[in-house]
Amino acid sequence: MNTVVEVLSTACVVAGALVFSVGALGLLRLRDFYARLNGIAVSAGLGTALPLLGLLLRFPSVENALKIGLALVVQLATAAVGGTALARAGYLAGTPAASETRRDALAEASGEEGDGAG
Amino acid sequence: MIVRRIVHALGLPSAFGARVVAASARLAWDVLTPGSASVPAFVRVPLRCRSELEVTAIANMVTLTPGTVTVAIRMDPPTLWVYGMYASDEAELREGVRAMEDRLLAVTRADGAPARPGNGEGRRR
Amino acid sequence: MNPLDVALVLLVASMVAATYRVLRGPGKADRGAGADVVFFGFVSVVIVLGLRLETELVVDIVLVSTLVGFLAALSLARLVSGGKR
Repeated sequence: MNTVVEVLSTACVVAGALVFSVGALGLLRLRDFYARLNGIAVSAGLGTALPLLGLLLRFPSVENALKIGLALVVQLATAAVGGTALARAGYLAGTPAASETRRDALAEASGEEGDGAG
Repeated sequence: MIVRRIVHALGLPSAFGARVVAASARLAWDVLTPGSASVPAFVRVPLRCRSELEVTAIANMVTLTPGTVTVAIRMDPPTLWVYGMYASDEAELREGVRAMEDRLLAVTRADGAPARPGNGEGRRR
Repeated sequence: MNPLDVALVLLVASMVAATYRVLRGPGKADRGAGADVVFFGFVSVVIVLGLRLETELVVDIVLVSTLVGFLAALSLARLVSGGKR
């Protein structure tokens, strides 16, 4: 019984590390800044949530469930708010997108963004 | 009424989780195989969300989904500018955001999610 | 070979890839993105080390790291935009 849970926990962590490395590979392979932000979303979302789940399975207790649950919420908030803020900051800094990116909808918005994402 | 909202509140994380897993798999396939199926575009998505909580939540959900990133937010009228990696069909990308918005508004609104407007292109101000 | 060691190797390789992105750029925004991933990798490495060394202490370290990471991500974004909101 105990060993089944331990195997599950290890499987979660290894799967998480695999997903994380795919996201990081995306950071190298994807062609422009905005596409790379999506690679980060993979690493920061699924790639960190799975190891956290594995950690909880290995040390199950109410206290740990609360701590790891909070850590997961903060991690997802970091990924979401940080990603949006970084995308916006990169856009304001004039980071170029790949040439084939269609941007008709955004051209209209440039220079008149409302309140930010922070 | 309140029971229905609680049911929706419990369903939202699992539905969103499933969406994130599916989107991650799609992006992983794109990264791991040679070449790329990505057709990037910046797309304007008018929202039915009104309060800051609703707009912030949907903006963060869009960023958290691999394949889409919120680039800019405007409150008046509530609108997102979304960078989509698979935006060969802009209407399809808007449809994806609206599907999440439906689930979100079912939780935040007492009277459920309001009906969708058209594709939003006619509502420019 | 312990499967957790494989996970550790994968995570460190990811952090090296992200470090390459920090060093190479191009542009401030890409450096910020790479730095974010280095930090997320660190959180995952701490988790794997906790399982490998069989210590429950890392739960607290992970919680604090994610809180620090939140501030770090916002600061990085501010750095990229050059102080503009």
